[in-house]
Amino acid sequence: MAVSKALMRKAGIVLSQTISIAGDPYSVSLMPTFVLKLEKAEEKRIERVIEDIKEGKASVRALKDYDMDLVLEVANRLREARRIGPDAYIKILDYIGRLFLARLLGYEDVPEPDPEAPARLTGKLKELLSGINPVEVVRDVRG
Amino acid sequence: MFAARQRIYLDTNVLVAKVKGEEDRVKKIAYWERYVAEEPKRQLVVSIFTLMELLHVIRNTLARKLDPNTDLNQARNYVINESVSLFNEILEDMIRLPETYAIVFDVGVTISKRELELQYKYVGQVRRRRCECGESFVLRYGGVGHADMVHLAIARQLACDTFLTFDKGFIPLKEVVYPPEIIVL
Repeated sequence: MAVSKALMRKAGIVLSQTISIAGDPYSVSLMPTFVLKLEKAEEKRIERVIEDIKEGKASVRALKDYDMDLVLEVANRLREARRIGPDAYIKILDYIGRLFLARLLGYEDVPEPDPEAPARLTGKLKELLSGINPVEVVRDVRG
Repeated sequence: MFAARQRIYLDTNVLVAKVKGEEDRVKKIAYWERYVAEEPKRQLVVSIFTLMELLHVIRNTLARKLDPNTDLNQARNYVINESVSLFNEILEDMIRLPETYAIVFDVGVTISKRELELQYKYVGQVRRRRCECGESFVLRYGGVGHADMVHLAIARQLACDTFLTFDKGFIPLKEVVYPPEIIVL
């Protein structure tokens, strides 16, 4: 697995520190050069995977082992530079979104799609929302 | 020539109607589910903002259904536990949705002056509603608000050409917002 800022933070490595000069806070980077180089290398690898996804040579699941914050950063940069179109961009965002939810639920990766899932979702909150108008209830939470 | 709709953003009330299982509205949603299934490039888009609102709807509804005399700490614990359980049940299905759905988080949204301009220009209605006590009436302003604008901005950011909602409050914006084209179901 590649090393990234997020992984180093998880490992408890302090990457920056806030110091005070004349009462004003300043953030000082403590990141050694080799970390920056590793991160650049990881970004390059992610770029290549995204290019493969765009061309249909790789599944979006190939991104699973990378740091998702970095994947997002690279995807945003490629989208801004128009090196990937909206289809590939949304495919990647969709995978990041589903992976986040899957991990929240305790899975390691996104489960395989199930054609019955949309039907199962229908009426899931029937009891809770009985007598409630979906438009009004959303209006209420929007304030 | 008519361009086929490809990326269709779902407003929160559409997802709420689906999980509520309201027959008439579910039929309308099913039409769009079939529509996107016809071509591989078509997708229904659910954003993080929609899921956040759905969670809030669940919590709000759970609290409202409690006896007003319930101990507040007990009520809070009940709302937290029940909402997590219900929301997780929904997420279990959401992560398994076919590729006709895109669940999009981490959207970088630019809220521009255009959003304020629209909200400023398109004033909604003042309605008389029954007070929660059920004995008197109160006046409430209802119109396009900041959250509606954020949904439209997210849809635009994700290159959605269509915005589906059940909320008639969006009707005045149909003439001025494009893309996405607003369809009030």
